Amino acid sequence: MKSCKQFEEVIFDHVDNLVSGEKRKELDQHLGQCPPCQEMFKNAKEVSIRLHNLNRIKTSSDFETVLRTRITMERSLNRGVFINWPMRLPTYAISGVLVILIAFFVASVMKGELLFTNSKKSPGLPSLISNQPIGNNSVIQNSSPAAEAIHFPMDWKTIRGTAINSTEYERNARARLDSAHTSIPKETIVPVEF
Amino acid sequence: MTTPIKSNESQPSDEDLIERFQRGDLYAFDLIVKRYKDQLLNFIYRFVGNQEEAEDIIQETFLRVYRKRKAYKRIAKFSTWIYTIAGNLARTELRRRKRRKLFSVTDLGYEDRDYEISDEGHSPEREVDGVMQEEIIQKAIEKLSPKFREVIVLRDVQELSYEEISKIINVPIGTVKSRVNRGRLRLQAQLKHLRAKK
Repeated sequence: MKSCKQFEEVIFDHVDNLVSGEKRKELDQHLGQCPPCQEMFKNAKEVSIRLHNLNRIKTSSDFETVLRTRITMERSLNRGVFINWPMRLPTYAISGVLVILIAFFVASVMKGELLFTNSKKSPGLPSLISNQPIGNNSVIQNSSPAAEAIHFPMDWKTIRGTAINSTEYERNARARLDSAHTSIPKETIVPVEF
Repeated sequence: MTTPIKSNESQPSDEDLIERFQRGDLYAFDLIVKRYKDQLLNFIYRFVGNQEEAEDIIQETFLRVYRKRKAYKRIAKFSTWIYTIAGNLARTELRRRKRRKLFSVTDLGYEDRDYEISDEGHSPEREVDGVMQEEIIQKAIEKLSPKFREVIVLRDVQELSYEEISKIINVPIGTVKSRVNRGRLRLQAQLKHLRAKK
């Protein structure tokens, strides 16, 4: 005859309804004669039922929304940091071109500023005008207000952008010069010695 | 007589869903979340004893499924895989909690010995309603060591097979059975006073 210790495992299987046939008959017989084993079976079964009957809780209503947000955040983060290698080359190329363009733009703006600053000190326009035949190899003295008007007929920026190589401007400048010539007092025109 | 559960042909299996998800079908992932969120919550809540923490763990579990979807191979059941992830995260959380409580003298939770539930507020004579019973049972579960607690919850709350539990926690079936039975008897010892009211 089997001892209680030998029945222990079968008793626990019986709690899970895993015993059948001859084994079950043998167990029932033993339980009928052994109050301690009967008590052990009863206790284990009772706990199993209690746990099985525990209320089922549910996730909070925003569970899926929170999860989706976390996944979206993670995806966007990964997209930013870990771009696939085939995607990197065009990205780097475009970035490189952009950097070069920006650098070129900045340099040209700075150069323009520099040119503008220098041109005020040694204006190119008077030299342009002075290269023109103005008769009798003479230049106009800066002391006269009329002469100043000829030397700096308009803002440098305007000249630089449109008029410096324009024949039309040269024609206008010459016309202005001629009209100025006539209105300038004789004493302000001095012969130039070469 | 119990009615056998009819398998719904139109309902895709977990394994089909994860395969669809592996191919980029995000709707399949949504279905997995809907299917598992509550059952995993019940497992983890009974295991760690705090609903908020349990939800965080479940969130993290799904995030890991999302990230590591390619790691799943059809050789194992999907439920085993997801329960393993959730169980590992819960165990990590319990270890972290244990470290935090290291200096607390009253922490009795992790020793492998029998416990008596606190008598404060409870006595066989006292009328215990359903809610209180739930609380008492939950407290008794929490007083078990994690290795008993986990198998008890997986077996008696989640009703998983011994074979599946064995795969989830990666111990032999015999060990699982033994832990479940010892765990049940320890729980029953703590819940004696509830029996009196039955």
